[in-house]
Amino acid sequence: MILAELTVDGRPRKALMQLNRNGFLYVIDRTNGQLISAKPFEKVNWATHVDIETGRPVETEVGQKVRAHEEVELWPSTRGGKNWPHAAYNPDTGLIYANTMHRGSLYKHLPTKPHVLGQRYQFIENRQAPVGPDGAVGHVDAIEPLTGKQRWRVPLTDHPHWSAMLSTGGGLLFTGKMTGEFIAMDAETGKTLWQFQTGSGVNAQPVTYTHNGRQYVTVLSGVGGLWWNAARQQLQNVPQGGSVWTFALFQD
Amino acid sequence: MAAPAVAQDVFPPAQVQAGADIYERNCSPCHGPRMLEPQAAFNLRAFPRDQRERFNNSIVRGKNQMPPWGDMFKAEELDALWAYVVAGER
Repeated sequence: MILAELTVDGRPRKALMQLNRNGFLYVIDRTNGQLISAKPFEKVNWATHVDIETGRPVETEVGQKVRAHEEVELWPSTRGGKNWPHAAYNPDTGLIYANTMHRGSLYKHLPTKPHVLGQRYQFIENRQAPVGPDGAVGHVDAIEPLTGKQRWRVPLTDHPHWSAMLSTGGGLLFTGKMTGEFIAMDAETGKTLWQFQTGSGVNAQPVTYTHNGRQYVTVLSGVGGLWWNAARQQLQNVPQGGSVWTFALFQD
Repeated sequence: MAAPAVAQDVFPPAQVQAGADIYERNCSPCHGPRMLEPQAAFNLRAFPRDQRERFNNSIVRGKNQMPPWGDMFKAEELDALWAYVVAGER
């Protein structure tokens, strides 16, 4: 969850923002819990919208079919429009920057059977929907908080990013790839300005800090996590092993 | 001349169905529904039919990312799972 001061209908609001796994970007007034906005930030087909008065999603036929035990192509997938990698908000640009996922589920509820002690009790089929014609399985998105619209988006065709996003006052974004690259992007355009191969997959949270007047950026490298489990074959050439990398600019 | 049927490759439908139920409940989250799309787990549709012992060992003791299931399954349940993997979903 991200805290921000947003201008809503000409008035400053103390907001709490969350890119939900369900595909909606919730903006809440954190002083009173009032729902300000909830727009889709990814492809969503299980609901048409969130009712702003009740905060409840309004389900489509897809949502109803799931309950009726029919197989549906469900967007976002159960892994979400965004999973655990944190998004970042930059008050200078007024944008949220996020590593999002672009994949549906072929999803079906099976008839529920009696519980057996010690065994799973799940009864769903959950397969991956085909990748779309553009080949994107995820994006780096610059998102307007109150509309959910992308100011820009960079498609990812090999793996979604499972590293969090860091936005700096200098107009840079830092994040990492499952294939090991730690990258810096231009927050205005999404263009990759710099990258460094860390030697293993990056699925951690970059941080920045100042020490004795010099700014540093640090990230952990070490392939693992949910996506590594899911895409082990494609990532088999990414070495395992943990390391900490800290970067700074050369001093004048 | 057709090769003679191998006795252990013939499974009663009820046994295959019993294996399907155990599979659906316990194995499908990783190995995929109906053995489709196993992602990082072993593709059981391609499991060698002449390696029954390896099959049992992998379940009971675990292997690589496969967790050990220990004594979770009775011998007849392992038989049913094997029947399903060899003869189910064909």
